[in-house]
Amino acid sequence: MSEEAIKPDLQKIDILAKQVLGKKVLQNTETLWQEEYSAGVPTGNKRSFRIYVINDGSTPGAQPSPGSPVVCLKLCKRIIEQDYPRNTLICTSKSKIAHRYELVLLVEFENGNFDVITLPRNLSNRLQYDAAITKAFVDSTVIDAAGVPILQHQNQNTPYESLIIISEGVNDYTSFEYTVAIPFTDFSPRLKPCYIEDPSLQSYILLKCFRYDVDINDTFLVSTGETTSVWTTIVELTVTEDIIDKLGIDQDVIIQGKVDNYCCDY
Amino acid sequence: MEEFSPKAIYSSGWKRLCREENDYGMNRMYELSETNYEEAIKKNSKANIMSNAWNKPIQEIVLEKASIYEKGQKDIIEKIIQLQNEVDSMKELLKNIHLENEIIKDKTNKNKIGSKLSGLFK
Repeated sequence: MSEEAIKPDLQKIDILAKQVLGKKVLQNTETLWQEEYSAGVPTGNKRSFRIYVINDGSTPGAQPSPGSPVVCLKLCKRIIEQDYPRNTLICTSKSKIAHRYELVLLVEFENGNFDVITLPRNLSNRLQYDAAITKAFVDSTVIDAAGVPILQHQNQNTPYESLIIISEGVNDYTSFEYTVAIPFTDFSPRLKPCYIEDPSLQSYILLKCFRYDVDINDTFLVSTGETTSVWTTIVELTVTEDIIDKLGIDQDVIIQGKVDNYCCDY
Repeated sequence: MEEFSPKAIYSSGWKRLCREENDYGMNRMYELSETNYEEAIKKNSKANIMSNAWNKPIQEIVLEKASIYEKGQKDIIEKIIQLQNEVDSMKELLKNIHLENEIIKDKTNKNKIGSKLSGLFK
């Protein structure tokens, strides 16, 4: 600190503060989506996440009852997994944000019945129907016929993104994991190499302006096996939020100030 | 009890950064051999592997990779030994064939000499 005159009632105080070295704001980022396919080929573009909600009263069979289709769907809760979102430095060139969450939806059917669907827990591939778990199906490009989740890519625009359903087994899907890799050159101000090498470098991730969009489409007969099928309603979901990634280090800041010395009165 | 509406704002707080040399989350899926992939499916999905890549510290990932390489190395060494044994037995076989050829040649020559000599004494 330069030799400035210190005011008589003040003193030099060392404050430990977080200095933000760089920040990146990803506005209007879709964090729930699936990869678009064209003629069976992945395009690397995002599209809305499509689920086939089983109609109320319809069960897989040779001639399934049409049941009652979905008329309304509300996102009640977004549960973020503990220790997420988290940030990882990749090869000292990118900051990779990983974000894991579940969604709880309230579904209203035409007959006035309601149900609660948790995503991705209540999702299955159409060939892996489980009466105790499955409430909706996804495309085979999201979970394949063997019940294995497939990595979804967005690699047409930087920063590149991916999405996958985290699985602990077939029909045991615990969360969505969305990732985005931000090159350090995208941070503002630009991050110096010495900052990136600093072992005390920390990150702060802020998720703001969370919103969602639901599109309820037509009913659809989903084949669940060679001789069985079930009636569903196609629902397109999108979740959007702003992601703010800050990188910083602890920094000593010397200020002039007065410490509030509180003493016990005994 | 929290309200039943998704929170518009959420922050992670300041956290120490993890560091990875490679893009393990993506690359790990493609680096697995078919055998390992099948094992992984049995242990429940390649996504689990990805999630393990996020959850495990770097040392564990390095040790896992090292054990995969060691196993691969062991397989290669076993194959080399197997091939060497086959080459040795082929060499032995060739040697035997060569010896037999020599014996046959000798016999043929003796017969020729013998027939010539018997021709002289007629």
